[in-house]
Amino acid sequence: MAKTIKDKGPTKRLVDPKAIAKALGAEEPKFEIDTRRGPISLFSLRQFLVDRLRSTGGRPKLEGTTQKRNKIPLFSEDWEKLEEIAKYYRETEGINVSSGQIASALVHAEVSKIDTSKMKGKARSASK
Amino acid sequence: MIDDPVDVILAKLLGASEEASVQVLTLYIPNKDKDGKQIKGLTRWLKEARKVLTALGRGSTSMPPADGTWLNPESKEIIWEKTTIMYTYIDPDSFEENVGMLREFLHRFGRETNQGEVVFEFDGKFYRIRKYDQER
Repeated sequence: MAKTIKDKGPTKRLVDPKAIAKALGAEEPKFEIDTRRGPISLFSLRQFLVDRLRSTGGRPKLEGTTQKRNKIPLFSEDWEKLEEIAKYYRETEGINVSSGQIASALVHAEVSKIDTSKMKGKARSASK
Repeated sequence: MIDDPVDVILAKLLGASEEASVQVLTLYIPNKDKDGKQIKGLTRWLKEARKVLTALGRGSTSMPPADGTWLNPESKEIIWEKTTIMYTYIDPDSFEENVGMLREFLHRFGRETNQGEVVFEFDGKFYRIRKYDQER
């Protein structure tokens, strides 16, 4: 079993983000993405979508994806979030993107972080 | 696989002198306006943004300009720009004390550099300012 380090030390008091947004005259965010892993993750998703969406006459195609549709079981709450994010991009940003394309972008971002060349044994050879 | 957490007090282990800061404020400063024109005096704006962040968190980190895009909702054109991302882990007392300075800077930046919107992240959420305060 893997061990993880959990810091139980004291932290500074938290400032209420809603109060700060109001004080700065900012709009309330329509949705949020956990950006605590790095300050540019939300920025990257938006940029990835704008860079990769190509017009095909109908809904733009996400460049680099295949025609093949793979069936991936999703948790229902995740699908609801993906629909909410896609709706936000369509209605607020004017980016014509589907829930599936958001899922594709997020899966790509996470999978690309895994270096399979360092995997050894049967699992890697079986995938070839 | 289920993690098996080991509880530690990092500040004590590493000799940190105070509580950990956990809330990050990130600013995005682009080099172009909403029509794709270069911003005049960008270096001055970047320096001022870092000064403001330093007042809020007693320091700041600025990353090299990244490739950014912004979709102009009116013209539907994509603005291709270089965006400087800078952040600070805020000190709550300094932050609340200087939040007015931050507002003044963000709204002035949006107004004087003809931005379609000024964006920032705070505590994992992404905010947009689209209506700027009038010049005082």
